Amino acid sequence: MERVEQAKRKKTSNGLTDAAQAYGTSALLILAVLALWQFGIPEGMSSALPKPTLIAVTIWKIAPILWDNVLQTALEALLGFVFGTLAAVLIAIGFVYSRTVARTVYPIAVILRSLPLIALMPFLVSWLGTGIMSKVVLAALTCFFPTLVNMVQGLTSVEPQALELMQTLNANEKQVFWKVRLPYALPFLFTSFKITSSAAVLGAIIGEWLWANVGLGAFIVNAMFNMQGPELWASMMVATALSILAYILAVVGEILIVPWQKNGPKIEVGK
Amino acid sequence: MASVKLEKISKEFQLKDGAVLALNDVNGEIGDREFVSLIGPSGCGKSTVLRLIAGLVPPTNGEIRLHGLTPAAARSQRMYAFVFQDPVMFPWRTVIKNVEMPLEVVGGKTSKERADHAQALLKLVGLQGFEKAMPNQLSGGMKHRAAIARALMLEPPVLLMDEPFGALDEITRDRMNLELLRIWGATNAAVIFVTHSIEEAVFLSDRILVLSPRPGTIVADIPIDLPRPRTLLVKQSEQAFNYSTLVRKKLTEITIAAEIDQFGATPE
Ligand SMILES: Nc1ncnc2c1ncn2[C@@H]1O[C@H](COP(=O)(O)OP(=O)(O)O)[C@@H](O)[C@H]1O
Ligand SMILES: [Mg+2]
Repeated sequence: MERVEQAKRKKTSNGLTDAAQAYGTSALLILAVLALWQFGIPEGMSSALPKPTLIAVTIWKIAPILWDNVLQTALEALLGFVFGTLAAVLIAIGFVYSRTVARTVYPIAVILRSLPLIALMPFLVSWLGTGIMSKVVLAALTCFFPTLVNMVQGLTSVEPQALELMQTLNANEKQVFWKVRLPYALPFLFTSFKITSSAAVLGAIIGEWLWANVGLGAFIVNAMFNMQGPELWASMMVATALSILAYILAVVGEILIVPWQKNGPKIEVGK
Repeated sequence: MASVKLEKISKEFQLKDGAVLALNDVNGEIGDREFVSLIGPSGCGKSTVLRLIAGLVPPTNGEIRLHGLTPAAARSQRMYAFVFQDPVMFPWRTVIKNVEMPLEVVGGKTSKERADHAQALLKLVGLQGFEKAMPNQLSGGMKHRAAIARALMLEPPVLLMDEPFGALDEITRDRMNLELLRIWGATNAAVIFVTHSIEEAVFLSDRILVLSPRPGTIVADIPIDLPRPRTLLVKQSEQAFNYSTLVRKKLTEITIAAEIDQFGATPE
């Protein structure tokens, strides 16, 4: 009886509900921490660590201002994500098809990765100004490396037999790319999106920390210097929420667009 | 004209520490619509023979012709299809889209024509109703049926099959053998079938070529005169049993010869 029930449930549940179930437990844990925070912190510390209810009320009170800043940060993160991803994907393709590109770009990519991105910001500002561009580029740079690495791996780790099959069909390189390599690499791309989606938000905020008038990063720095505890916490919470939202979008995208990836990206599916 | 002709083929693989002579002086002719099995101990060069015919690797010496064409020319005219041991289904495509792949690569047909053709072949291999399924929803045997349907998509006169059922359990393999004969009967293809199962080779083939190892060369060419259509009753007949014994004897001779090579003729 129980088995049948289980089998039924398994059949009807899809990737999305699986994910929801998996996150249910951690939601409970977060609630527990919030409760402890609300009721367990001594009164004297409440200026450094405002109670969750106070943070919530603050978010509500300053919502219009926060919203403007959220939009700015989200726009920078989105543009940075798009450009960073595009650059990484195109360069990964160049990587796979040209040794010269691989030899030229790889050392540069490694140097870029090893640089603390925050150290780049002064240069970016002096080149691109204090406006949106310097933040977009910083966000793009945070996205670039994980996507490059994953994409190169995805494009090059196709099973040899799949390529041989295409060879026996006399497929040309363009067909092999569009019909095999690219779809094969898509799950790898979404794996990197789970990192780069929220990394882009973080990159934009770090950019704003240093030089900006608008954006969540700027707001956070302002609140900190003005000793506005509740505002600081409110903006940090919103920044976290934005970052989580970006991650969730990546997960949902993965489930909807590359559903076969659940079973791994292997082409020889079972025997 | 022979559908496949091998003349004095040898194949040497260059390795870091010298060369390996995988095949030496392989000759053979496979007729139109003939079903020929290639049998031999593993590592004796069976796959290499198929890969040479397919033009996936070039021979070191000798000449290969498919209906008079070189492997490269034959491939560009899609004169053969290759079925691997793994079904090689693309997991992001539905079953029917996987089967359509060869026609997509060739081009020149509408998507409706492609789908109709694929649908007919899926019916032929017994997969009607599974067109829209994803490959990971199919069992092992079903994936192999789909792979065979895909191989038939361009109606190739030659089918090259490299241990296509090697990874299946014996019961499924028996069923797939029956199906393969039925499907083959519905096509005009000659089949070159690599296996290391003696019973499978006897049951399927018009002729069995026995390959010896190191270097691989054909040491026996055994016609199988069993009645067609072949049923599981034929498989269990005394005649079939005698053929199996004959092939087994040949294979044992090879093994003993190899051991003598290795350890000397008269062990104490
Ligand atoms: N690409 C290759 N490079 C080097 N050696 C190879 C290669 N392919 C096959 N061989 C060698 O050739 C011999 C025959 O291999 P193969 O044709 O795969 O045998 P079989 O299919 O009968 O098991 C083996 O000794 C194998 O190691
Ligand atoms: Mg082999």
